[in-house]
Parts: sequence; structure tokens; C-alpha cells
Amino acid sequence: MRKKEKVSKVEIRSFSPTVNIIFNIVIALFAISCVLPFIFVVMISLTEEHSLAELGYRFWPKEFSTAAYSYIFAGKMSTKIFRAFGVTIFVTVLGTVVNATMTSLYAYVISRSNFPFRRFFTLFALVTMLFTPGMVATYLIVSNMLYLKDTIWALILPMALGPFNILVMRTFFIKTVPDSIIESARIDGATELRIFTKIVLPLAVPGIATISLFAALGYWNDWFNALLYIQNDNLVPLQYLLMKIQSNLDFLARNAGMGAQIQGGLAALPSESARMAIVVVSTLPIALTYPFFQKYFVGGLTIGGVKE
Amino acid sequence: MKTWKKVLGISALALMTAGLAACGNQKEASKDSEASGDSKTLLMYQVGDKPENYDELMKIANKRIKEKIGVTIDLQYIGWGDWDKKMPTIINSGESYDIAFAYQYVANAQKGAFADLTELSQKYAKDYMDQLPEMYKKGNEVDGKLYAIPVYGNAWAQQVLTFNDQYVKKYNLDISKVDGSYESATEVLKQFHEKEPKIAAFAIGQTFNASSNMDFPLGKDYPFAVRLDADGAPKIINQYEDKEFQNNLKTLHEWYKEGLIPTDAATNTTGFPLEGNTWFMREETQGPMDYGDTILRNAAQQDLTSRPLTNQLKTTSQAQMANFVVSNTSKNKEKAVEFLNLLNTDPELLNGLVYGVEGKAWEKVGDNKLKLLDGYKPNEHMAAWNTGNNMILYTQDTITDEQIKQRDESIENAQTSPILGFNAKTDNFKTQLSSIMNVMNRYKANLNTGSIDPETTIPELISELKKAGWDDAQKDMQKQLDQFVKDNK
Repeated sequence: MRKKEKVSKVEIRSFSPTVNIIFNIVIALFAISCVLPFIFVVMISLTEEHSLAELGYRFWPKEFSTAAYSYIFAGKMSTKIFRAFGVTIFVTVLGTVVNATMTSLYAYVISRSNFPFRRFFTLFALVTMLFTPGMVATYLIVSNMLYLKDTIWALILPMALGPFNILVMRTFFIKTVPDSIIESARIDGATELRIFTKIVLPLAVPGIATISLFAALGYWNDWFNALLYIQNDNLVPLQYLLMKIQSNLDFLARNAGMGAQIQGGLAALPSESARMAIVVVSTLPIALTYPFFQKYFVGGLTIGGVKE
Repeated sequence: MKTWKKVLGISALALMTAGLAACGNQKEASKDSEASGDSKTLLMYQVGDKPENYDELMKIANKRIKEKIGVTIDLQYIGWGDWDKKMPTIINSGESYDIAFAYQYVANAQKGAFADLTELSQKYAKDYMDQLPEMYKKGNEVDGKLYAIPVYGNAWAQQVLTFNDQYVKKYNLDISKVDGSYESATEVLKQFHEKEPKIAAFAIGQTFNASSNMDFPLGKDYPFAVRLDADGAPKIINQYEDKEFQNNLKTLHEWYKEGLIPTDAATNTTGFPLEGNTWFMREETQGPMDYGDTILRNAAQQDLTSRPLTNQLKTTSQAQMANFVVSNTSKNKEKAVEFLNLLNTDPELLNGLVYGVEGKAWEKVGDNKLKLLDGYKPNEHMAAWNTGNNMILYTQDTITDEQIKQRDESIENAQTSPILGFNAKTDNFKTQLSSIMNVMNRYKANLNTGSIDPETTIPELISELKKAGWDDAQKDMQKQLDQFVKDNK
């Protein structure tokens, strides 16, 4: 009897209640530290501007105001912001589709054991992960070789295929799609394309959802490609618009004593609460997509994260 | 069914690739035709925010430019905040552009990124070069060559203490005694602080540098300075060892202790808006083209009065304030210089850019005067200081002939820095310089905002600087400077 008890204790792998509580508290603190700044941002965006100057930031504003949001949706910058919003959505949707398609095609091929060049193509992807060419080389390729400057493709193509996603997907294919299924489909007379679309892809939906989320986040938050390649006002994405406002403000603060002529040349910048409102508008949509990916996300990531 | 789908898939893929390729080719093709055809387009990079009526301004300007020299300009704006990230990439990648607002003028000229304009400017921009005062040519020489067409703007600069008129009037304060030093402002600041203890009496933040009658060969952030009264043989010193400078810091520390400087000055990076009423006195830079406080008042949209703090001084950094360079990768160097000449000598072109559309934003009254109309908006024109020759700009009717005379006289009479045109090469003491910067980062904000006592801190700072290799850097620079003085005699 005693022996049996001992064995069952070994099998149940759980923390003691105290440790559990401590972990819960740690995680809760972490979660709060993530969410709190954002709540702060939302509250600032809802604060009356002059009370912001007088009383500073507060979690519960003394005077509420939606002026910042009417600035975005009806004010001077509204057309700019809407256009940028449209660009961001377009780039995110198209980019995610392109990224998911290319990644799964590449990863599927190198996951098949009977593909003769799988070693080469795996290494090919890995090398780009280990040795990055740097900004100037990338800039040269995109602007002087591909002539993508000032086109919407400059925002999409540089991020269309990433080695990390390829490796995640490759492992995923290997783990979730047994060779025997492919073999049996072959025996039934399916072509390679049919095997891929009808059998492999449906099995790999969690993995694709995971890398799509990665890609979508990447595209949504990207401003650096826009900084380098975009001059045309009509192609400016939202995050870059925000960055521009912020960096102009930084510049102004850093060079406070410079001549009046230079100061006069800087265009009027949106107020504090308006900037925070833009942050809210640019963050909320992508945050809202999380729940829809959630159900795939956990499964996809754990399987994809396991190495052979 | 099976084959049908396959065909569809493949053709879709082919279409996508073709579409992509077409995008690329089209651009390439149009670029080629531009380069080989008669009507060239020059690509020009400018710093700042694009004016809101950019298309309209450029249409008018390009028509005129095409008439005169047969090219058009593709002017691309790069925002203030992006400038430091984007311009090095453009320069380092060797991208082919024609004209740019100079980025790190001396360093990039030495690297060979910009075209040598010594002869080109004499050949294609003679009109303008003849008008340009000697200080601009001297101040922009790099190793004996000229790499830029500078904008004739604020030839000298002066630090001033600017007062918020609404408070001066409200409390009937006498600011006329403020002249030439921080100390002279102590009395009036104290009076103000008594009345309004919550408003920053002297509004400064983390980036503030105390001023003195000195020139700084590496910029104000580095502890290398040259006193202006050094005739003949300028000597590079540490400004923190200079008695006069130390006294300024002591005054600032007194102010800090009295509460005349905000307690968070050493960490504050947000600044005090010029147009607000959160400040009483601040330090500003002014030049001849500001016509006293006129431009500052325009920017602040309220009444301000400035009192002088330092001398009017022509320095290398003033000469290099707004430089236009021609890229070494440009295929149209001659045309680029020709265009810069036109921009700086054609009043119709320049005024149209700097003041906005004629007839809508302004109208001409008298020979070289204009009146601003209701259509004049702050972001519907380009900036005067970084566009072109300020001397051919029409002046606003609010500026009197007397002021214009004063402007011209002051440009004549302003003091010239003993190290005008001296560009120190820092290659030999790069490591020392970065250690020096580290030391400065620890002390600079606290000392300059008066947050700590200079009596005890300065000796500490000086010994740290010595450890960081200040002497080596000084020696090397002094040698360069001696050579420079000898060559320029």
C-alpha cells in the first residue's frame, strides 16, 4: 500500500498550492504591467487637453473629452489618418496572404523526405537567419535593383518570407503530416498539388494560423520599411505616421534653443491626447484579432516549437 | 477538372510574377527615358515637413525653372525626425540623387560623397557666388575645396535671453538692465519668481548648454572651446576650466537653489512651447534675418522681447547652417549647380517658394516689399533659412528700411570667430572622444542646468576628462588649428 501511494505521488506533477499562488501572482503582475500602460494611453486620449497640462496624467481623468477622437475622425489630419489606416490594412491583409502562401510552400517542400534538394534549401534559409546583410545592402536591393521605392510592394515584399517562420512550419509539417498519409494519397492517384491542397493544408491549419498571426503582427507594426522606401504621402502606413509625429516632437524638444526660423518651419503637431488617440486607433484592431487566432495559436506554437 | 485547376493555378502564379516584373520594369523604363530625354528631372532631398500645398508650389516653380534652365526638380522632403536615419542610408548606398540638404557636411565631403564644387560653382553659379560674403566660402572649405552652395541666411548668430511680454507687462518688470550676462538677469527673475512661483522663471531642460563668448570646434556638447578674445593664436581650452564660464555656471546654480530654474531641468526633455505661457525667460538663438524679435514673435504668436547675452558672431557652424550639396553619384552635376544658382538669384522663383503662391498668400507692394494676405498659412510655404538666398527675399511691410539697414550693417560688423573655417579631423582621437562623451553625459545636464554645485563638481569633471584622454585630443586638435592659422595668414 505504501509503495502504491509513493508511485501515484510521483505521477501527479503539480506544484504545491503555495508555489501555485506565487506563480499566479507573478503572472498576474506581469499581465498588469502589460495592460496598464495601454489603459493609461486610453485614459489620456480621453482627457481634456488643458486638464492634462494642469494636473498631469491620471488614471481617472477629471474632465472627459472626446476631442482627440473627433480630431482623428473629423479634424485636419483625418484624411491623412484614414488613408494611412487603409494602407496599413491593405498591406497587412495582402502581406499576410503572401507570407503564409510562400512560407507554407517553401516549408512543405523541405519537409518532404524524398525531395532531393531539401538539405540545400534548408541551409539556404538558415544562412539568411544567421548572417544578415545589414540595412545598406537591403536598401540597395529594394531601391536600386528591384525599383520598389515608392510602391506598395516595398512594404510587402521585404517581409514576405522569413526563415524563422519557414522552420516553424517545416517542423509542423513533419510532425502533423505522416508520410503514410501522403503515400496513401499517392496510391489513390493524387497529384502533388492535390496532395498539398487537399490533404496537407487542412491538417496544417493551426500552424498556418500561427505563422499568419506572426506575419500579420509584423506587417501591422512595421514602420521601418516605410521610413526607408516611402516618399509618397498616399502610401504612408499608420505606424509610420505615428513615428513621424513622435520623432518630430523629439527633434523639437532636443533642439529647443535653435533659431526661430527653424522652429517656425516645423508644422503644427497634434496635441498629447490626440497622439494617444492615434495610438489607440492603431493598436486596437490588431489586438482584437488575437481572440480569433487564439484557438489555433497554442497548439500551433507548441508543435511548431519542437525541434526534430 | 484536375488539369483545369492546375492550369488555373499556374496561370495565376504566372500573372502575379508578370505583374510584379511589370511594376519594376515600368519604373526602370521611365527612369531611363528621363535621364536620356531632353527634359531632365533633378532629384533633390530636403529636410523638413512637406508644405501642404506642395504640388501647387512645385508646379509654379518648375514652370519657371524649365523656362530658365530647361530642367525640372523632383523635390523630396524627409521629415526632421527621419533625417538622421534616412540620409546616411541614401549616401552610403550610393544611390543616385542630384542635390541634397547637406547631411554631416564635413565628414561626408571628406569621404567623397559630395561633388567638388570649387570650379563648378565658379562656372555655373558665378552670379550667386559673387554675392555671397566671404565668410560663407571660408566657413565651408574642407581641405581647401568647396563642396557646397550655402544658403545666404543668418550669417551671424547671437544668444539672447527672451522674455514673455505678458508677464513683463503684468508685473511691470524692468528688463532693460539685462545685458550680456546671466548674472544681469538675476534681479528680474527673482522679482518674477516672487509673484508667480509656479511658472518656470528660466525655462530650460536637459539639452540646455550655458552660453559664453566662445566658439566650439566640435559643437557645444564637447568640452573644447576657443575664447573669442584670443587674437592671432587661438588656443583650444576646456570651457569648464574657463573662469568666465565657471562664473556662469555658478550663477545658474544660484538660480537653481532659489527655485528660478525648474527642479526637474536636468531630466526634462519635453521643453516649454514658445507659444505658451508656462515660461518667463528662455534662451534663444537669433541672427540678422530675424530682424530683431520679428521672426520669433511670428513663431510664438505672442509678444516677446529679447535682450542680448553673447556677441554677434560669425562661426563655422553658421556658415554651414544650410548647405546644398551635389552628389558625387549625380549624372547632372552642371545642371544641379545651375539650378542652385537660379534658386539663389531669381527673386520670383524663391519668393514663390518661401512665401507661398503670389496673389493668394502675398502681394507685392513696392520694389522689394510684400504684404501678407489672409491666404498666408504657416504650412503652405517653404522655410526661408533652408531654401535659398535670404537677401533676394522681399521683406514684409512690417519691417522698416531702418531694420534692413541695421541688418546689412550688422552683417558687416559682426565679430568673426578666430576659428572660422576650421574643421577638426577627429580620426586620431576617436576613442578618447567617445570616452570624453561618456564623461560629459554624466555631468553635462546637471552642471548646465545648475542642478549641482559647480565648485565641487568641476574639479571632479576635469580629472575625469583627463583620465578619458582630453589632453591627447586637445594636443592633436591644437596642432591642426596651428596649421590652419598658419595656412590662412
